Amino acid sequence: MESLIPVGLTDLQGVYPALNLAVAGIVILLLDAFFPMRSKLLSAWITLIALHLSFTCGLHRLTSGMDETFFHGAVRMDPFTHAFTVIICLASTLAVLSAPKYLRLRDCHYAEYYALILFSVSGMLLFSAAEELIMLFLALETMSIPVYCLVAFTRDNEYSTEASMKYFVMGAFATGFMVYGVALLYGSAGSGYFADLPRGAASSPGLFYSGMTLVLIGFLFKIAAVPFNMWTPDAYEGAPTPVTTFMAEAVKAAPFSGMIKLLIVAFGFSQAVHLWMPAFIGIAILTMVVGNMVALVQTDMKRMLGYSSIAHSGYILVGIVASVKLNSSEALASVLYYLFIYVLMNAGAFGILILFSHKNKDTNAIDDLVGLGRERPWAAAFMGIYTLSLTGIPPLGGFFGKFYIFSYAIKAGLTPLVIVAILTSVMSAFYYLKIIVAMYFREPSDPQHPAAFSYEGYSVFLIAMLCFTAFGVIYFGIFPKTPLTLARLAAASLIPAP
Amino acid sequence: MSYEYAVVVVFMVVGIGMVLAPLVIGKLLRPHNPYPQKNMPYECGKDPFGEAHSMFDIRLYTLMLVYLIFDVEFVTIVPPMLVMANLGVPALLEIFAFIGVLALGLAYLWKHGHLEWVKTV
Amino acid sequence: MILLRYIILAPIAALLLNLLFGRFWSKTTTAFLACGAVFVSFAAAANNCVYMIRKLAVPEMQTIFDPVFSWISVGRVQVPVDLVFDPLSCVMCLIITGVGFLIHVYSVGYMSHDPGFRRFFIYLNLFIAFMLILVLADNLALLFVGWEGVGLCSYLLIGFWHTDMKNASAGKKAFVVNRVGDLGFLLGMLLILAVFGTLSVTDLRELISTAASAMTPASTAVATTICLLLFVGATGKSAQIPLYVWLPDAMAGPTPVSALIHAATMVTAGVYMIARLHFLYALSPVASAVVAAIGAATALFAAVIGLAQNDIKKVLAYSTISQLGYMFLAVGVGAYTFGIFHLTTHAFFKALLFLGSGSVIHAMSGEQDMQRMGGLRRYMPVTYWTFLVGTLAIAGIWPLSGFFSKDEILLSARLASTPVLSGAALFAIGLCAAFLTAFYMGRLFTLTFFGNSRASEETKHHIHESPWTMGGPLILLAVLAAGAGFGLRQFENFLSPIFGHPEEAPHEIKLAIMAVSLLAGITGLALSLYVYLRRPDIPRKISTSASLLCDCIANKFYIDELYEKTVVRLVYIAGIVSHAFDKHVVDRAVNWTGGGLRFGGFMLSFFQSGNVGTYAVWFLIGVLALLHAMGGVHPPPAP
Repeated sequence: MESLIPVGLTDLQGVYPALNLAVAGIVILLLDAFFPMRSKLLSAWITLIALHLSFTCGLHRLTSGMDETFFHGAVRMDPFTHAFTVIICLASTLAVLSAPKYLRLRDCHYAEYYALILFSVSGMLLFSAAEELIMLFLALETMSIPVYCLVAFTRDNEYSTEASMKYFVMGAFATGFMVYGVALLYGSAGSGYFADLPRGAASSPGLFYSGMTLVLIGFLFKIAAVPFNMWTPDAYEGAPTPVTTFMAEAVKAAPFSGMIKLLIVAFGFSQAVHLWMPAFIGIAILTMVVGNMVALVQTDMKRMLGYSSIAHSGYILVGIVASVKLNSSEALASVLYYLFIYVLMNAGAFGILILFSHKNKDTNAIDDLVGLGRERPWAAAFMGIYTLSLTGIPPLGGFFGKFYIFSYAIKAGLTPLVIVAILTSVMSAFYYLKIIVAMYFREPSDPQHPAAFSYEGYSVFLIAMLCFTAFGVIYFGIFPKTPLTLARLAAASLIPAP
Repeated sequence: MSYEYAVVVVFMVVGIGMVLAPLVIGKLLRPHNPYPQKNMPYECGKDPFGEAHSMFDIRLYTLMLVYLIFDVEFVTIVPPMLVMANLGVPALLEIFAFIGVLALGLAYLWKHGHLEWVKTV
Repeated sequence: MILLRYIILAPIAALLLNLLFGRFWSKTTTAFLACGAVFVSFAAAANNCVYMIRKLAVPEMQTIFDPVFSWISVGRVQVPVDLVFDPLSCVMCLIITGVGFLIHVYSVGYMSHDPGFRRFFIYLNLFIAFMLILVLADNLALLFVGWEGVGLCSYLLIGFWHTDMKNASAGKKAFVVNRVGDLGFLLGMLLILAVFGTLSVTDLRELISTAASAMTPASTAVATTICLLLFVGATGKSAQIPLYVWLPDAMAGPTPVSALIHAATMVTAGVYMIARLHFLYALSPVASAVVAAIGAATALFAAVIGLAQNDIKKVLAYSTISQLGYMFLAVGVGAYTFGIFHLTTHAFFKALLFLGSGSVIHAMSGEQDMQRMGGLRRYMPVTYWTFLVGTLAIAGIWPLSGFFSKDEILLSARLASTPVLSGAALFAIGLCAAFLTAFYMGRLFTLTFFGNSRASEETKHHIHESPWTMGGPLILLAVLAAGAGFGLRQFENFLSPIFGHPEEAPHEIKLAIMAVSLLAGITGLALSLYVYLRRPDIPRKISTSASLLCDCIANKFYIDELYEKTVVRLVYIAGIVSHAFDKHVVDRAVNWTGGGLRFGGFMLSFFQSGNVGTYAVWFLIGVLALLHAMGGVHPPPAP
């Protein structure tokens, strides 16, 4: 029974980025319980430091090319995982930076916020590392449950609680399918390890493929692919804006990491690919069309960005399909690059909404931004950068993200898919430019309106976040070499060069 | 015409029959002698009051949650105990780490006063 | 030697400073910066010129080359931004910056009361920068940048007082007419690119010098096409028949602008371009002959119209068109050196005349009609004497500069023989034009400065000599206009590395032509002096007896009306049709697409009912569909 000797120190060291965050979360909770302070900035600082440590650790491991397995193969820390560690830590850092101002205005600046974020992020980091079904499921739940709580964080707000309830119910529903899928897969293969799963396809294909479908449905729910997207707009709109930021970036990127790994490692053999690829193409088309079309008629920015994030999931799905079809790490790298840029520009757009939110009222409607260009030229310029990047205007990062993905998709022979993608992204220009039109070209009907642009509560964190994202969107658009090189390094660990 | 689904029909008939049969048999066999005390719902020997569909205090849920966690903890630590001799000291340490984390959670709850029925804020 | 880019950089720096920070400092600073920058450019160009004269003996040192950066690089088409400084661009640079500097200084006085003072100098500096790009460019594409840039500045400056609709539409007219010419230029450029694969003038010259021996009729035809297309561009920019109509209207701009852009520099760009590409024109006798014929025709035609104009600036404008015609005549018959020489002397005396007329207009409180002037000799001595020098120079009176340049052109025309018009015919037309030039200039001078004043009492009260900022440039330009003629031999030598030495004409012909052209000038002047001073009834009699002809001339032969009725009307109708198409077909298609998509989005948003139960139903439907697609069927066997 020697093989049962479980966890060693090396294992713990291996998952250091996730462990570090979990410990930091516990520390924050206990600190707050035993030494309650009026200002919660200490918690914010601890969170930032912990995220920074994980970030640098991930970056260091990525550049040094570490590739090892831990926990008897349940966790594999390969460059792909490290890349997602970097992206997710960055996204969470941005979300944390945007939080203090908003929470203070809403009188709910509690240390639990940071602890919940940290727990969720530690789950995400394991998510991209999981190579075993139970591990994957645990990581998924560790990631999700704190987010359900976070959505309801402004608990006096009925929208917030309603959103949380819906999200939770739908999430539980999806989880149920996923667990069932895990059970089926385990039953067919007799093992939970990704690498062993293809065995099940040979011995009992019926079980295996049903299980595969159900597990993938769990993921499609998390990334808000149509028709599993229904929770997204409601949850995005109801959640406190910093939480929406967190959901739109980190909670979005992490399931992609797990899904990509699962698709390539476990379902990457040709029979399975023949089954899921057409379905994914259909879902990608639906997702892009529905996401962009419904976004056209939204008047609330958070809801609109919710639909836009659905649409962006569609673009990323195109990239995933293309990279699996081409079996090329370059194509997968473009997906990682896209996620990286997406995190930056989305965080910025939500950041502007937070910048102008008030004690009693959010500045969420597009009409609220009328006249921003005149009153707050800098904020309007930043918002312009983010929206143009989301639209995909060169030389901003969003353009190159889309450009790389679409060009690889064309190389993979998915031209019809790319045509749909480009048409829908033209459609998206309409609603993104609506923001710019509102900011610069519309006259406020109410002369008192500019008062809405006063800064109520001022946060250096938030300003730093906005500056960083705006700079990043421009800089990494013009000089995409560094992120692309790192992304190629990461992707090569999952799809070895032929 | 496929007979594969005949299995389902048989399954449903047998399933319904297995529920109905004891009820019908019991109805035929048992004596019928109702009186008020007998018609009252049984509630741990206490006299029930109010509707059965009543709202419980939210604080009860917090306590139940804590209880549940330690319930699960018990279930989780018993199996390793049985093979502790084979696993050795590291496993013991791990179990203590597990208990430790839960204890930290308990400390958090306690300090925040979630274990008090009347909260002193 | 100074790097060429700094010649261009100086005015750009000044204009940026004035543009960005101009409102923080006074008019004096603005003016000082603007003038100083042009002077710096002039000094740099002069420095390079001196350097080049020293190195003239060494053939490979005759050009200064400054590769700035690579601009366009598409496949085998390379368009670098290379600047080149050879004797030709040296002459142009010195004229642009030298005359430009004097006109800048003059403008300080002329525009001193204008609220748009800063804007004016920003435009002027921008113009100088673009003009320098034009003449320093080694690449035709870069030359085209300058070409369009000066067109833009011209548009901005003609419409400088844009609150007046008349000025704004004059600017528009100049811009649109130039566009027509630019189309020709662009086509010619693209054809060069297609045929030679390069736009660099240096490379072109080498290609052609090696290929010249192997000319076939087909390649001659191609060369002719290219040259004619480029010449269309030149007729637009340099106001030749048939695209000259914009220049008289361009006088709506401030007078210094007329002097700088519409007399001395920009309008000569066409001549410069043909001189720059002389090796190309040498391949095509037909194209050269067309250039010469159009030039001669324009010289005569514009001079005739100039006879009947009463606006002092209009007369000068037609005179400019006529003189430009001379230059084209010169380059058309292959006398490039003399064409450029006339360009130089013309820059001096025409700038002088325009500035002098500006001084007059300034003194007359904005009055431009010569019928209301007269007798200004007594009030404005500086203007009077300098204007006199200018008039004598343009009329071609020995020993002023105009005589030398015009005489050489007439001589070259006489000796030339072209496939279109014979040398004698060109010479006769040129001589007629010279006579008419002297006549209308004499008329202008007499009506303005001699006789009794015909101005209103109030205007008369205000007549004053202009300030030194205006007088100084006048005197300097008068000196140049008077003395430049004596530099002819040196000028020939200086340009000889590019154009070679012109052939020496037989001595007797030379003398005869000198005598004839001098005679034409003197007769013209004397006749106009006599008619308008002693017998003012003669013009009236002529206008009554030959009223039809006179009306015709005074109304510029109704050319504008003709264009209006034909070309403009056609374009306008095309515009109406395409507007209707755009509005009813394109716009509707766009709106319906957009509306349809919005409606689709609206309908789709009904799925988002807000009810969790409904969500779950859709979720289930999705699950079932996916299970059907992926899990329900057995996979195909592995390939």
